[in-house]
This record gives sequence, structure tokens and C-alpha cells, in this order.
Amino acid sequence: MELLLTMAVSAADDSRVLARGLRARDPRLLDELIEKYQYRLLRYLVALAGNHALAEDLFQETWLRVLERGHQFDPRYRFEPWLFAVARNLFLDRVRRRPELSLTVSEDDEERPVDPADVETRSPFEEARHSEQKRALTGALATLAPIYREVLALRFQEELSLEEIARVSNVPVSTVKSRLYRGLGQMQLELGRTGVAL
Amino acid sequence: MNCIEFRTTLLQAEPMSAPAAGEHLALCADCQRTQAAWTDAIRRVRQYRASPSPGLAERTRQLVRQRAATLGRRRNALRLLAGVSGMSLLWMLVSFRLSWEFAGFLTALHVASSRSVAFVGLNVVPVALVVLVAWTLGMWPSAVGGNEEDFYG
Repeated sequence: MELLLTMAVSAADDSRVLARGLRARDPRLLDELIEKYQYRLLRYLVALAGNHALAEDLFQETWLRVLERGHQFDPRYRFEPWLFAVARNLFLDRVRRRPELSLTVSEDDEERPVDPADVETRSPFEEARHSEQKRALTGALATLAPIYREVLALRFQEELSLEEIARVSNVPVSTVKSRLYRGLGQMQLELGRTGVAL
Repeated sequence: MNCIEFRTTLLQAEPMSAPAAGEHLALCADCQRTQAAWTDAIRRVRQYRASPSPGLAERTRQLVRQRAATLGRRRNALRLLAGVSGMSLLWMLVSFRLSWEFAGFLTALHVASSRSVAFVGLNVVPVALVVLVAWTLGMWPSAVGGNEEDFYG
């Protein structure tokens, strides 16, 4: 119990230090944050945008926005959900400018396949290293609507709580649960259809 | 615990972290199937890694440093303008009497149509211009925009 309390106090202190650094636009802090979150942020953006090149564009824009808007980070909350919310808002800005991108589910939401591992930039040798299982996962994820990919990524890759996902996505917790149910259900169906045993 | 509550537990925490979930699972074949399927699907989602292209982090750091330098210069410019505005206002207050006399002198020389106009020309207009420039520069950074203010509801 004492250990948990100590960890909570330490996390709160870290958040306050982080908030101070962001307000001051401390370049060393931003360097560290970019290093620390590069894989997680990019993975989330790929899940959201379904396009590696766009995800990398948004990755850079996100850190610029963090620099400009760091004073808005509230140390009472964790940094990760705020970072993902910033990235998500930038993606939505892009969606408004480019209607072919979308987060909504619609009848014609047969979007181009997601390529989370950026096949275009991989050599044939690297390509061959990817297992059947991973290709099936890519296929299964690709068939999901972006809103389902997003909640699956936030919950099971980034380990955000349902409440944090709700804040990032700006929807009620009940909607997050429903999207998780549907996302998992659709993925299960797709993995079954492509012959990968569950 | 019913099936919906059990499945919500699966979504919220590591499976079987709640004792009641274990009891329900032992009795419900449907939830056993769901748990097996979801656990595997979740494991597959977790396995996925996105690889940044080489140098992405470094390029981003450089961009951020450049933007930080630009913002720093802008902030310094704003501080300077705020200082100049303050000094101008102070000067206007201190030299009120002198300016008023000088405005009278300009009016006598027919440089200004009236003493009031000359006074405004000497004091208020330059200060207003400085404040306007400061305000314009001050507004610019916020025009970069974004709506993450809404994040905390």
C-alpha cells in the first residue's frame, strides 16, 4: 500500500515537472519526450490514419503542437492521453481538409488497406521476415474501421484506461466499450476468415 | 456477475483479475469462448510494432528546435514591445504638461488646427501604434490553432 502511495506521489511529481518543462518549452525535455514516445505515438497514428507516410507527417506536427501548446497540459492527468489527443486533433484537422480520410464508419468505408509496417519502405529481405501471423494481423486490422482500430490501439497497445480513451476520443465511456466490443468481434471474424486459428 | 459484466471486465483489466470473473467463467461456456478469442486477438494487437523511418526522431527534434527558436524570438520581441508600450505610456503621463504646452506652440505656428489635435498627435497616436503592433504580434501565435483545450472537458 505504501509502495503504491509512493508511486502515485512520484507520478504526480513527474507530471508537475513535465508541465513546468512544457510551459518553459525546455528543448531537452522535448528531446527526451520525442525519444521516449516515438514508437508509441507513431504506432497510434498509423492505427488512426492507416497510412505510414501520413502518420509520420502527423508525428512531426504533433511535437510542434506540443511545443506550442505545452502550457495547456494539466499535470493532474497523465501525459500520454494528452499527447494522443493532440495527435488525434491534428488528424481530424487533416480529415477536414482531405475528405478521403475519415474516422467515421460508413457503408463505403472499404478504405484502402492499412499498411502499419510501411511495406513501401521495406526491402524484399525485410519483407520476407514478416510471418504469416503478422500479415494476418495487418489484414485483420486493415478491415476494421479507423474508429475501431483507434480504440484497440489505445486500449491494448497503449494501455490507456477506458476513461482516458473516452477523453482522447471525446466520446462517452459507453461508446468506447461498444467500439472495443465491435472491434474485437470484427477482428475475431476476420482472423477466422483468413484461416488463422484463434 | 453476468456475461456483459464479465466481458466489460475483460476490456477493463487483465483477464481474471476479479475473483467474480473467475466464478462466472467456470460456469459460462459462451464467455469461455469469448475470452479465448479476445485474449488471442488482444495478444495479436499487442504484438504489432510500427517502425519509424530512419532519422524521423532526429528530424523531428530539429524541427522542434527551429520552431522553439522562432517562438523564443517572437516572445522576446513581444516583451520588448510591451516594455516600449509601457515606457511610452509612462512618458505620456510624466510629460503631460510639457506636451500640452508644446501642442499650444504648434497651434500658434499653425502646424495643427487645434491644441487638442496637436496633443493627440504628439502622444496618443504613437503609443496607440506601438500597442497595436504588440497586440498583432501577440495574437499571431494563438492563430496556429488547435482544439486540444477541449481535452479536459
